[in-house]
Amino acid sequence: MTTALGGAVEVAEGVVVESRAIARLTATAARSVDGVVSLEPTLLGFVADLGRQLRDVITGRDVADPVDGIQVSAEPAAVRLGVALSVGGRPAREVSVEVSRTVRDNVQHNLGVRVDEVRVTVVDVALIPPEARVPQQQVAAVAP
Amino acid sequence: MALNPPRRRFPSTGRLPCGRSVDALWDSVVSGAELDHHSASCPHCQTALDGLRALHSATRQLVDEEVSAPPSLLERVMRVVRTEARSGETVPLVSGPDPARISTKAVAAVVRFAVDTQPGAVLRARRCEVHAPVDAVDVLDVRVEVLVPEGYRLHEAALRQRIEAVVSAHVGMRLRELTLDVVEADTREGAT
Amino acid sequence: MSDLQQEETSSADIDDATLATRAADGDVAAFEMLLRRYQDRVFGLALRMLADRAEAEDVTQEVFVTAWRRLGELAEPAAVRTWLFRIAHRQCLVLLRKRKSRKTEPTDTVPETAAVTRHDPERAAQTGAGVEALRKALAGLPAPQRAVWLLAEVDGLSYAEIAGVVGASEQSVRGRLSRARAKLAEVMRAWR
Repeated sequence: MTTALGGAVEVAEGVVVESRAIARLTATAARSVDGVVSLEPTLLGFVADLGRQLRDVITGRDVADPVDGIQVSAEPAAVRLGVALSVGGRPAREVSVEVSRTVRDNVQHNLGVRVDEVRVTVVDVALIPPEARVPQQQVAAVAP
Repeated sequence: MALNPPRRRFPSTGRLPCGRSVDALWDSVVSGAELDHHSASCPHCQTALDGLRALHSATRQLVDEEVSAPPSLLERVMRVVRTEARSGETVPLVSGPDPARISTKAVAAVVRFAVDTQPGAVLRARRCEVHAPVDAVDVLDVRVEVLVPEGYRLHEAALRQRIEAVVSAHVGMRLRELTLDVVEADTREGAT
Repeated sequence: MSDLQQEETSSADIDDATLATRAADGDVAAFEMLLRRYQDRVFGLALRMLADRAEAEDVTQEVFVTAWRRLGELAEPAAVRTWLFRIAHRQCLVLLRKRKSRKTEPTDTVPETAAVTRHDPERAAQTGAGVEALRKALAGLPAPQRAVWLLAEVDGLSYAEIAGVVGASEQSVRGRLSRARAKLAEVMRAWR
């Protein structure tokens, strides 16, 4: 089942981690990566709560949620994560690789949840002026 | 105010009882031209001219009013637009156990940016197609329409180099095929 | 480093055809430039057609969201301006029809006068009495005549462009404009 709001993963007998907690940690980890401009809600991400969310998009009310742009597919003992984001100031490819690694490490180590897969979707590339970002040489040094 | 007075001084035929057309009188009000002998003395024309002059002056005031869309409108529309744009097609960006994809629209925007900001040229990118070749990984095929000023000689090699460099810097992928469709600007275009 | 450089690209010098082509191609930034360029004009037309700010705002939002979704169908990208007016015109007429059936207004002769009373009173105080009289007179016109008059006098469109916007022949546009002008002049004369 795929949801950003419901569902849970059993990490040990009787120990359950809710999808929402996983989504929050995923969002925090993804945002910490240099070159991530923002997490982006996609129409795909709205599937969980289609009616309300779509209406909100149309009326323009603020739907910002700490788990915008994150999808959590909870399986009995593991998760698949989806992250949709905008990048900028650094090659999208490098940013994606680092986001996957950071998210995977954080969710596995901090929540003890096994991560089967992290799927990153870059929905936008912000053409950011370089002076607003760290120099590229430094960026290259932290890239995998 | 009576919108439908019993006696119409402006008949729907557009002609006054004296035979003059309302449109002709309107033109004289707008141009400020001097009235001919008939209109200067004809009561039908004078009555009509009163109304047309009042209309002309009120119209000018109406046209001069500043009407601005509320500031929130732009954000509301763009929110819908961005959300819909995101649900578009993607191509592989990273393969492996943790795959990543990138929206073709995002790549196209980077390509257009490269074209538009080519130093020393006034180029405009238009249509841009981005495909992932089925028989190769980590590369993209790009086709872009480039609008050049009339009579301008495009330095194609330099533009190719720049597009490749900008895509590499922002996306981190190489281009396998880069097709440039060069179109000379039609100077009549956009003169609306 | 220079590849990541954002150079000065002013939106003012990008022609409509380029922006429309790009927006049809999914370029969000190009669409935003079109929106910035024409939102006030579209809002102005809707406001004067409907005499209701909230409804004009809704229509304007709907016009641009529709435009975003259907730009691909626009055969002549340079004509995006009149195309936006066409969508706006259609939406306004739809809304006026709905309003009419909701209110079950008794006659055709005074179709939208009710809307005038909802007009922003602050605005009325700021502007001249002549403009207010004109606004009332406009509300008394049948919607198709009002639209033609606004497109001609306020937006400065040619007969051919108006014909395209309202989906009528040039001949019939001339007729409508002439009748609208005559009726407005009559009301304005009475007001004076």
